[in-house]
Amino acid sequence: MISFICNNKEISASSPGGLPVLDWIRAQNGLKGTKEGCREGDCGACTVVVGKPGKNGIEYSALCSCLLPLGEIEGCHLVTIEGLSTDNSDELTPFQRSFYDEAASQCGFCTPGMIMSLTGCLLGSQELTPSSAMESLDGNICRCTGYVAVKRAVETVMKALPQKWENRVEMLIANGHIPAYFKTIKQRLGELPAGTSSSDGAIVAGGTDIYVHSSNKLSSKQPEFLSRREDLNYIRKDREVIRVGSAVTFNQLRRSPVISRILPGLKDFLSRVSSTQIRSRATVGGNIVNASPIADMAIVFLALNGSVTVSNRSIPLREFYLSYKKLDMQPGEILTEISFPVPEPGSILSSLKVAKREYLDIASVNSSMLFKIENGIILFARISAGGVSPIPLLLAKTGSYLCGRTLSEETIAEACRLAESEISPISDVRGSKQYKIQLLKAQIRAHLTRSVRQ
Amino acid sequence: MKHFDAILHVKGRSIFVGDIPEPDGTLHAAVFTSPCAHGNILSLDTSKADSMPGVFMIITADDIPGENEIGNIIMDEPLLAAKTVHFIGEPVAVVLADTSSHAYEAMKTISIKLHELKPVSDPREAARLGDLIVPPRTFCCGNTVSALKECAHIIRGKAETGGQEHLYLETQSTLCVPGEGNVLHISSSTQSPSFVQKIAARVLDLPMHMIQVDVPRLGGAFGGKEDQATPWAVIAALGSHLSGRAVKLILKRHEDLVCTGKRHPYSYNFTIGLNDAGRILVWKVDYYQNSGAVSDLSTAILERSLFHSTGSYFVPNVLATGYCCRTNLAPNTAFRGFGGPQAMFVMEAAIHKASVETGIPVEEIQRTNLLQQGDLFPYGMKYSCNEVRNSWDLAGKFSGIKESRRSVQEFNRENRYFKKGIAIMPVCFGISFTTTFLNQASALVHVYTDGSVSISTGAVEMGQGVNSRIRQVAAEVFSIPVERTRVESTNTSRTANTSPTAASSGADMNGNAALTACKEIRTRLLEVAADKLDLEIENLCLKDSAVWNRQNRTELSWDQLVAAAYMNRTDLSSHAHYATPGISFDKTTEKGRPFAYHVAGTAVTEVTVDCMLGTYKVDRVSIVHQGGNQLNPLVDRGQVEGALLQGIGWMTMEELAWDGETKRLLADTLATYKVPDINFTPDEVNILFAEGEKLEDGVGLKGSKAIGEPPFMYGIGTWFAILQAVRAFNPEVSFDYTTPMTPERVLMALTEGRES
Repeated sequence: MISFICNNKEISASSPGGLPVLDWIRAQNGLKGTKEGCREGDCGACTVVVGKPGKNGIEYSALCSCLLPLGEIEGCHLVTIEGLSTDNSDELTPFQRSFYDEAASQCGFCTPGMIMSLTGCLLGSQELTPSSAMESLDGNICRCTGYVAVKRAVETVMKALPQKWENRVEMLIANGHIPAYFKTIKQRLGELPAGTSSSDGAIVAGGTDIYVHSSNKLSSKQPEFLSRREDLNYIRKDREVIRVGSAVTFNQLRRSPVISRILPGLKDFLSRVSSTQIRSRATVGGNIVNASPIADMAIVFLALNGSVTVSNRSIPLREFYLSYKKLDMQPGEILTEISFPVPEPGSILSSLKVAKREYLDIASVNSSMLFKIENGIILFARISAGGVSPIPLLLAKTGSYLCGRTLSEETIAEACRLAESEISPISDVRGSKQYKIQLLKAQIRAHLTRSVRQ
Repeated sequence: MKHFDAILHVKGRSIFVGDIPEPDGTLHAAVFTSPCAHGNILSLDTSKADSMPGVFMIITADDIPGENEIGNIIMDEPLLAAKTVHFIGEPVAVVLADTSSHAYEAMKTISIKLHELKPVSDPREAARLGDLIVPPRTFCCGNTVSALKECAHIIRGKAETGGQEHLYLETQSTLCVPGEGNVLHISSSTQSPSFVQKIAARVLDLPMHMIQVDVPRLGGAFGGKEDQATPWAVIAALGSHLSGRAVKLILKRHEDLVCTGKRHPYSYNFTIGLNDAGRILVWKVDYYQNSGAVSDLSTAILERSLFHSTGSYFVPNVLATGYCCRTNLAPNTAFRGFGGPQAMFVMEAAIHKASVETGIPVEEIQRTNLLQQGDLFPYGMKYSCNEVRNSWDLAGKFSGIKESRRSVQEFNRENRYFKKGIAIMPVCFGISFTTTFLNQASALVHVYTDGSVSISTGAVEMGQGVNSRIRQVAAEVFSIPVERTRVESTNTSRTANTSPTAASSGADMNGNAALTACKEIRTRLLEVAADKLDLEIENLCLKDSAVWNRQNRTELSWDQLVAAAYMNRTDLSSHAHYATPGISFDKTTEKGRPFAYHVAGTAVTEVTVDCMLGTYKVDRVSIVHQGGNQLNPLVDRGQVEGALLQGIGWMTMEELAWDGETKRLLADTLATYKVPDINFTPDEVNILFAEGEKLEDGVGLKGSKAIGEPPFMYGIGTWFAILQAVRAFNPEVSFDYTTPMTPERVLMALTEGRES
């Protein structure tokens, strides 16, 4: 039995823990507001809000229900579009009202997902500003409106929010954004019976990739969820080493004070990694072991000289990738930690990705460079690149060439030449081989010239 | 005035086909489709699937009781492939099972043996092989041969426009429920309910009155559900007919991407001839349309390309020839603009090339040649107004183009690696189905005894707000609040022989039919009122939910009037038919008046290109749109904004690619086919609606003009604005007139001939 609260109702579901929440919701009579658009987390039509009891009360976030296993919401508050009104009331929340007033909804198929993303922002975002609300829609595709009316609607609502409040849930209730029952949820979650499901061997971390291609297989399974493993969820500084538990999500990484102190530019780069909904689920460890040659975090950690811990073995990340999708890891092993040395003061981490679309897209080429420049001299540099080889690649020759050079046109040209000799891109749907070569060169130039204050 | 449907959407309470509760015993369909782009079927093995859990039955071409033919214009499309497969994703067999996952698991065990034939994906290759769907078609006027001799500049070139996936958020969906005596009720996500009805009847060998098609609403369509909802609806109907059970068929996104056609890619040759003053004297163009494997609507789409061959310009000597080239891709189909955008792109490309080669600024060539009132189109129709020129001039002022140009120049001087570009895109688009007989619609209006009003028309609501417009019109005739009207689902039993909701004409035609029906009822009601109040009918009118006598409100309210009329045994229902007046076309001479009117406007687009990385951002689009008398400004604005971004998507990031050997679609998931998101939408979209020409009564809806498609073509300006920015970085760039302008194309153009 999986116990949770769906909207305003206690549920004990007997469905398998691996069943996507979307399928559970739509099978419930009357809960047809959550739509299936793609089942790959790329459209946001199925967005729901999930509240999980945490250190600071219930932590809400918007998630794609198509990639979310039911077992993950054990003990949680699941909110669907229907949960924003009590009973069959015709009252509209401010977002619903402004979407209606501005005609920010045309065919209406994406609208519930958008409203839920915005509700997730209201309940869970660190800041409540027009721009944080716009950002929360980075995982919602609308094919009708061109988003212009959506932007107008969002801005109107966000500007009308009070500037100060004591209790966010109470403020949102008072302003009609959520029904009054939200006040009772904390206590009611505490009263839920404990779950009784056990694992049958399948392991799911964030599930945002495995559910794209293996949703059918997992639907009948009882997976073990790494998100429940507190021992895999930490970000801490140990002397001069940063340690990140493998179950840390992209959003946790993005919000971490430890990370933003040491790597202030990373937050912006992380906003280009998938979408708000996916970042709340996708884990750093998952991104590493997925072994995609274009994995955004693998590129960053390679530049940072990161290491991974697997079964108490510490392996330098640059040695972890053996060949295409092959890792130095045995079946059944779990990657537990990613660590990297704190970069020396004054060094810069520059990370870039270029894709067809700037947000929520997979890179044609991504790259990351950690380097330090003083008086026009590059003191050291480590550079990594994705999409240019069967594995996320450390460009060792290019990096060591740069060490000690004067930053000049000649240096950039030689670095580009060396980088080209280190890579082996192929032509595919993300770009031709020639393009990927040019794009990496362009990124090397951008790392060296744009991230340095002239 | 609002987009009234949205009140349900925002609460998640609107019902799409996939949300309709399934009757007990509903079977779920999974369709086995061809894994190969071209081949003769040697054998099909469904034996494993037969014994899979939950499987009820498996259907192949042999089980079809009627004709295995779903063609519309040309009869060349089987419902289920029997002997040959012509594209990857062509339906071959159907599994019906108790659950969707059982159906899919069983479907995956079906195997097919094929004698593979060489597939073709390039329209020019198909043309070389002589594989044309119909003979080539030519529109001409003047004499291009002699006029070319007078030209000071003759520029020749080639161009290519890519296809475009519709990406309606709701995939193709059907629920078919059998009723008594073999009647089938099909709920389909189609723009063409009558077409689904006709084809289902043909395939099942049933009379049309045994098939009822109902469309609650569509989760987006954009042309992609005009012809291509049909196969899936008919497959479900066939399943229901054979099993006696309800059948549900909802395509998964991947299937929808692979199996359904898209906007037609085109390849072009052109010759443009100008005199010294920049006047275009000659326009010769060949359209090689990549039609896909079957005709679908390709011939009609090519026809619209021919009608729009000169874009927004007047050219006295024209020779435009189109080829519908049969290839082994999923049948390409209607998509917002319907061949018009392709014709306009190549015209703009030719003007751009002429500018580069002659040194005459692009805007000067554009402005010199814009259509003027009285100009003849190559198809013999006179341009009736001056909206193209007016919108051009107004857009210049509205966007502050002089100031923008100055700041762009300054910006480009000051920045080495960031460059801005600016482009003007005039649009002139003909309104009406070019297939004349489709220009008809009907409406059925009931006034109930409590005074509430029910309206049924042939129009399908797909987000474009047609229902809102129709409700407004009805509420206005009866002078009652809009809330007292309701537009019903589109249903072939209430409105028969409907034309597709397409060609931007849904509101014009169905709205006018509803208007006539409402007026008819109003006349009857006023007769009752005159009788009851003993007043002259000429002095009576309906106003503010009551009967008025000249300037005075009578004691008779709307509710009382309706009740009285019923007691008086007055017919409170009316059916009306509308046929667009004044249009005709002679295909033997290719001359006539195919359009009720034209819609015009001009967009000014400003972009910034990162010339180091090859990425870009649309900063601002300023549009002057001549939309006639606006009925619902909110809905109109949404149509312009939405169409614009779709047009920009077509020109920039939306790239379809097929494997060179197998012709498999490579961009077959949303991870690989990208459409604009909220971060890509221009920072600023400013729209000025200008009224323009006054339409005759009965043309347009109450003086408003159609708005669905024309704004799509404003997006073309983005391509040229990016090109301009790229040329500001690298003036020597040689650029193919190829779309889309992906970051890859931009970077390759920027770095051409340069080392890093």
